[in-house]
Amino acid sequence: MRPDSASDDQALLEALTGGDLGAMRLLYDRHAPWLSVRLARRCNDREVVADVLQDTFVAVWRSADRYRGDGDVAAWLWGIAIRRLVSRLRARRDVLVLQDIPEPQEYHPTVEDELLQRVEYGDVGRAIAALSPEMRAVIQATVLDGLTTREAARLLEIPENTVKTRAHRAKARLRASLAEGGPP
Amino acid sequence: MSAYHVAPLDLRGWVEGHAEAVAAMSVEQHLVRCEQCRASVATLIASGPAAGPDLDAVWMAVRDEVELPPRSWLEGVLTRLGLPPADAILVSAAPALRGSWLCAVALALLFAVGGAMSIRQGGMTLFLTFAPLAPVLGVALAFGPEASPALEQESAAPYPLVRLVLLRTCTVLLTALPVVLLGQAVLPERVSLLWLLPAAGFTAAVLALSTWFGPWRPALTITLVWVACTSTAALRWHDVEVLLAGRYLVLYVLMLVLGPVVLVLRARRFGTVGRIS
Repeated sequence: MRPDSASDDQALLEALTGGDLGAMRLLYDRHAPWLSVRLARRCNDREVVADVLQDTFVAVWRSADRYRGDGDVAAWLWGIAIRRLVSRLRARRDVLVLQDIPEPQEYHPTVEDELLQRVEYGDVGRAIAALSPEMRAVIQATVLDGLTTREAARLLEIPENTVKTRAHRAKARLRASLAEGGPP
Repeated sequence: MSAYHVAPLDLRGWVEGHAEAVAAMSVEQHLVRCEQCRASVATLIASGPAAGPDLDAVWMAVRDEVELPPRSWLEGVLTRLGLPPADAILVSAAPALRGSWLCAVALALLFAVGGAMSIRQGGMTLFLTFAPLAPVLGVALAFGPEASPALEQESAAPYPLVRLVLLRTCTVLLTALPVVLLGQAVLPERVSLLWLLPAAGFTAAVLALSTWFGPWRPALTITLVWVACTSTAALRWHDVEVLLAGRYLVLYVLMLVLGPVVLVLRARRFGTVGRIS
C-alpha cells in the first residue's frame, strides 16, 4: 500500500476546489463503488441510492474547500453521503428502508474473529453480534455511521425516543457483556 | 492504516449484500481507512453483475450537474421559496431582475428616502414621485422584447404566459420590500404604507393595458401622468400628500381591482405582452 494514499485523496480535494474535473473523476472512481455498496445496505431502492450518490459528489464538488484536513477523506465522504440519504428519505416517505439484517447463515469464526480482533473491535464484535437486530441497527446508525439521534430516527423510521432508549439499552448490554467476557 | 485486509470472501459477501451484520460493520469500518480494500471493492463491482446503481450513469449525471453554470442567488432564493427550478430560471431571466437593475432602483429610492429625511417636504415629493413608479417600470422592463431577446423563445414555449407574467411581476414587486421597510422608518406613518396603493394600482393597470398596447406605452404614459400630478400638487398646494387623499385612493384601488380582471379576461391575447403577434 502506498503510504501517501491519504494525502493523495486530500490533494485531489484541493484540486477540486480549483475546478479540476479530472481530479473529480479520479475521486469518483476511487470512492463511488464502496459508497454505493454501503448506501445500498441502508436503502433498498437503487434509484434512491443513485440519486444520493450523485448528490454526494455534487456536494463534494461544491464544498471541497470545507474539508478541514483532519481525518480520512473517505470518512468525510461517508458523512456527506449518509446525511444526503437521510434528507432524501425525509423528502420521500414512500421509499422503504432496509434494516432487516440477514440472520447469520454460516459463521466464519476464524476470518471474522481475526478481522474484528486485529482491525477494530476485539470483543466488541462478539458483543455486538449478541445484540438484537433492532439494537444493532441503532448502534450502527448512531455510533458507526455517526448520525445524530434525530437523523438515525429518520433513517430507521422510528421515533427519536425509541432511538434513545434502544441505544441506551444496547450500550448497557454491550458494557455488561464486555465486563463478563472481557479480555483476561 | 492497517496491515490487515478484509478476506476476499468477506468482501464479496459485503458487496453482494449477504454479509452477516457484524462482519459488515467491521468491513465498513475498515474500508474507511483502507485504500487497498476500497480498490478491491471497485474491482469486484466492475467485474461482477451490477446489483447497485449504474456508476457510469451516475458519474455522467454528476458531471452534467457540476458543469452547469452555478445558479444565481435569485434563482436560489426563488427555489427556496418553493418555486420549481425551471420556473425560477425563467423568472430570473428577466432583465429587470438582474443585479445591476435592482441596485439602480434601490439606489434611486435610497436617495429619495434620504432626501425625505433631510428636507421633509421636498423629499416627500421626491419619494412619492419615484417610489410608486419603480415597480411599474420594473414590470414593463421585465416583458418588453426590447429588453430581452429571450422573450421570443419564452412566448413560443409551451408555457402559460400568464403564469410567467404573474410570477415575474411578483418577483419585481418583491424588490419593493426594502423600500417599504425604509419608508416605514423615516416617513410619517400614513404615507409610508399608502404609497403602496398607487404602486400596486399602476402595476395592475400596466399589466391590463399591455394586453392591448404592449407594456411600454402604458408604463410611459402612467409615468408621465404621475410625475405631472406630483409636480402639480407640489407646486400648487405645496403638499404632495393630496394625492393620497380618499378620492384618489379609490382610483388606485379601482385600478388594482380591475387590472387583474382585465388581465384574466384578455389572457388569450397575451401575445401582445411582448408585442409579438
